[in-house]
Amino acid sequence: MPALLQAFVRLVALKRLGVLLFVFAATVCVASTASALEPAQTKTRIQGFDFAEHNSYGLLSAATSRKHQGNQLAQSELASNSPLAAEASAARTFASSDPLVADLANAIEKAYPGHVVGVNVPMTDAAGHLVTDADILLRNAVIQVKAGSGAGLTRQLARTQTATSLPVIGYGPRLGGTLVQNIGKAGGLVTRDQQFLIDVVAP
Amino acid sequence: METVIIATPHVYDAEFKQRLAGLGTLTANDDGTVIFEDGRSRVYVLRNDVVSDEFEPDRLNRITSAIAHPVFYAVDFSDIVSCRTVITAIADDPDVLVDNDHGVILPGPEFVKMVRSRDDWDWRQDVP
Repeated sequence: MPALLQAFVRLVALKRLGVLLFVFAATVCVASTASALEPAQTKTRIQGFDFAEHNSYGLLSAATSRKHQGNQLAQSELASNSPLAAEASAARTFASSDPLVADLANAIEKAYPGHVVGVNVPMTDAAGHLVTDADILLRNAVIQVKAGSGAGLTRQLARTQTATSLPVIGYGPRLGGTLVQNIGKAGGLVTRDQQFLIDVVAP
Repeated sequence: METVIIATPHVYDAEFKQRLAGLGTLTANDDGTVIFEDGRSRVYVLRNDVVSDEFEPDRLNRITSAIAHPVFYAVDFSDIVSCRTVITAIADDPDVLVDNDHGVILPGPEFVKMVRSRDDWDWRQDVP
């Protein structure tokens, strides 16, 4: 009888080990599958800081730490689990020395609270060189803004693109026809229509 | 960023860098971009050979009638005060033209004179 009991205990112990091994294997398997299925990450280089973001906005909100050297007025970073986070996010107002930038950033922020990361944000290339300022950095795009006819925008979009894998969009209500046409022909993103832009950058 | 275009008769990399020396912090990138920082903001001065593809024909004609084979520089800025500092330093030169992207194209000294005479001139408010 004791021998039978000992055999039973061994069997139970083995089963437990088996279960543990199964759970461990399943965990490893799920982790590697998740890693393989994870969306490609986008990378944005900001002076003095590097951060990687998922393409999906839904994956961003809780996990991504954000720092930058852009205009930090009214950009207090509350912990995402703070009870005040949503309220503060909804109330943010961006200030910029470029009036059109501030207007557009605040219109986007009004439409999608928390979507604007910063304004006038210095961007660096892979070698760490400062290449330009992003007028408006969103969670899913960078916008370069022009109040005038847009001279210099083509190169600015290209330079900005060296610092981020997010789409870079040119915007200006008075952009010239030749400029818009040529940027479009080259596959760039540009618009004069603010509401269209706001719709396009929806989270 | 907003941009002021400066058309020059030849490459002005060294001249611009020299004229900005001492006015703020200067950084030069490998591609020739000079970044000026004055504590308020950054201004990027860089040669831009695609500007001519952005201009409407009449605008380009106005420039090429004064400078047959212009070399274009873009002065990218966000803060108008920082930009005024840069423009008055580098463009007070009778051989260059300044195009503020809001309809004003003038020889360098005339543009600089306008900037100096109107402290509150923020041409970004002007309709091109």
